[in-house]
Amino acid sequence: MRTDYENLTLYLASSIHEIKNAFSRLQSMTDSLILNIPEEYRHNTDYHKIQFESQHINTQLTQLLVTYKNNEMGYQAYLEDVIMDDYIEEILRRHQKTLSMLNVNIETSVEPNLVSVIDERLVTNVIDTLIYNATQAKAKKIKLSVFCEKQYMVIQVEDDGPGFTDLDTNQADSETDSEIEQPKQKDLLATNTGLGLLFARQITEMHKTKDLQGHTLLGKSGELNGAKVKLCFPA
Amino acid sequence: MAAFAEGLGRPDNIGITAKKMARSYYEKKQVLIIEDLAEMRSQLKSMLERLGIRRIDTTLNGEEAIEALKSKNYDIVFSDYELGRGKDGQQVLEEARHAKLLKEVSCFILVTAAQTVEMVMGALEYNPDGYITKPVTYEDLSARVERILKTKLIFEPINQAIDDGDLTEALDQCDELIKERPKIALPVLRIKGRIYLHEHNLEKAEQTFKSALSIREVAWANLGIAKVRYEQENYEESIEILETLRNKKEKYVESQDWLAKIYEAQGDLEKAQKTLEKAIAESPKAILRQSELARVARLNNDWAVATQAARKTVSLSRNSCHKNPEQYINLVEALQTQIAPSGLRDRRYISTEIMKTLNAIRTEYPDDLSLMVHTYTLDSNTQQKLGKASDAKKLALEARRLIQSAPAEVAIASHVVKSAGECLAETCDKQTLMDFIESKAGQNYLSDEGRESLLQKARSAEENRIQEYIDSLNNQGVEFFEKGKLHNAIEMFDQAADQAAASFSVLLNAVQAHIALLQKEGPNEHNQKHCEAHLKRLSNMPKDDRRYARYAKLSEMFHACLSQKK
Repeated sequence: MRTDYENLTLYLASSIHEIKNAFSRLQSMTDSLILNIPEEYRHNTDYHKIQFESQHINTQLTQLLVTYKNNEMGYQAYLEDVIMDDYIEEILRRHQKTLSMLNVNIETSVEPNLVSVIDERLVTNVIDTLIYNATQAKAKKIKLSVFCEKQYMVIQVEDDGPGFTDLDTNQADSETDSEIEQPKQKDLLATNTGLGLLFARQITEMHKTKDLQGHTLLGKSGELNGAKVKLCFPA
Repeated sequence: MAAFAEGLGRPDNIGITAKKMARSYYEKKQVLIIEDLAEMRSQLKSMLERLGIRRIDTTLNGEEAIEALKSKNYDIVFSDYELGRGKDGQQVLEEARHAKLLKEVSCFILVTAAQTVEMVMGALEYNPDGYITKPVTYEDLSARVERILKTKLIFEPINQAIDDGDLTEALDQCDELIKERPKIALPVLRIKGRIYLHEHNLEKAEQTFKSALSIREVAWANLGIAKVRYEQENYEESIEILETLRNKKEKYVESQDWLAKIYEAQGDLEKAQKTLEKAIAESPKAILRQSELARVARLNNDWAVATQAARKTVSLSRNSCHKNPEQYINLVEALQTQIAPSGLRDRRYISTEIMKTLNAIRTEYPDDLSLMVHTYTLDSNTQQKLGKASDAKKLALEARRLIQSAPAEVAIASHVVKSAGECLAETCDKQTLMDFIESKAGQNYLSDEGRESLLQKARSAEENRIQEYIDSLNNQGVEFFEKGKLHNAIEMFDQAADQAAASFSVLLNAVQAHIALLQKEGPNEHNQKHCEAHLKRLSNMPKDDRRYARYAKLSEMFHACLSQKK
């Protein structure tokens, strides 16, 4: 027998599933509706804003479902070899138009010939959220970098927004430039940005090897002066 | 650090260059879309057209897709995972690759709902080149397709060599690529391992899978090692690896297929069957797995499971390249075992299903004469089992007619000729069978052993028929006797007793009837003679026979009758 609480969470999860399906259909419809508008009329920012926002809703719903699954039975990360420069280029291409419409400049820097083992779908979800969060924080510059650091492959997202002002920088890891491990769950749940970060932590932590544990670090961007999130995966 | 890429102020720069490159590339591509929902289909099509693709075919389901793939070479296939009631996208992929309907250089992209991605990822042997999760926007699609094609291009020299059938070249290209881009060694090693396994080069295959595992613990490499161990008949080690795979969260249902194979090789058919049943519970739509289950259950004499699996195999493989007449025949043979002696309704159900299946064979393979003959022999067997002897005989004779009227250039499978012979043996007299054996077809297709076994069968069929004849006369005799119609009873019993195969019981019945008549109507030489003849045969009865007392009593009574007469 399931407890009332279990019934409730199951109900919530099923509802989210339903919402996500319905939303997917809605998104497909708006997309084809927009595609049917002649290109010369289509060229307005709203189209991209609609896409950007609906993509974010979709991302959020996926996050909820993955989180639910992870809690219920331990979500299995599906690891694949990912050629990082092509991967980041795909992400860039997906966001570029929208971001330029929002007057946000996105830059990438990827260590060449890097192949990493990640659950691409989930990591993409995290990166999409971080980019969305940056735009919500009114950032005008975003930098997406991929590099190796110690034994980790790092995907780093920086912006020139206000940064994590509410973080207690006293917790900072002493040796790095003001990087800290993420605060605990209850602190994160308080803010919208926090939800995304919570998910980021969940996803990076699913990536582990015998000796290394994936993790997420937060900090202040030295270059852009805003927020910095480092997603670290065992290399 | 790279400079800021195409960003603020010139948003279209990268888009234009990328699009230009892509357009000329896409223009030449032949694309197939498999999608059951009309709206999604047209949406995907218009997005691809926007990408620059000109030649696009669409199909509504996996079955149509297989037909399309048979008729044309496609460069890129987009398939939805969920395709309604028929096969799913993963199965289309498996079938297309298995039957080589899709070139290695061609790209197969699965479009899935977010919740079914895991099902796609669990496949070990046939992977799509990429997948796109719904909802698909143009931006997502174009960016994703470009990356998938880019990756595919890296492997093109290898895939091209495989398509050309030049596996040595393919292996060389693999080594070249690993040297050039050591970081993408894993997928290359996967191809190498597959080729070595195909060439049965077990040593190299093992080496390859092991070097993959030294990079990372990947499931396909473990499966590869398990296959090598299987080929080496090192079953214990293979089982160990496969069980570990099976118990992983991803389940890797293919590991179960191999476990079943090993259990069978070890002679544990029951375990093989259980394993396949479990795998099927997880993925009930896999044709080859169902047909394996049908085969193994049959070996196990578990006809209920065999029937069910054979039935599923037939229905799943309709419009599939796995379809073959053997599956129909297996189904008929399995169904025949389900004809229970009682249960009129079930009998009718099953015989209808058998007829339907036989008709399906006849309509789908009208030009295959062997198969046609086979349907008649199966039909005859079925009628025989249903107790319809005269129908069975007619069908057996029809099978014979087809064989004998076959044009000289058409060969008929010898096992079919043999089964036609068996039907004749079961249903006709010995002479008909002898004529068949001596005929040209019999001479051409039957071995000496085959002929001998047919004759044996005819003999036992004849014995059965005689026994049945005796039994029926005897039964009628008993009926008359009970009604007091002694003359009729004696007529029946005597006819039965005249058969050399008449049992002591029949002879005793005859004697008893004669005595009753002698007692009733007084002496009659004709009766007396018959009775004496029967008693003479009965004198061979061993004293420990349970009927001996009856014999002794009747014999005494007969002699009493005789002395009375005197």
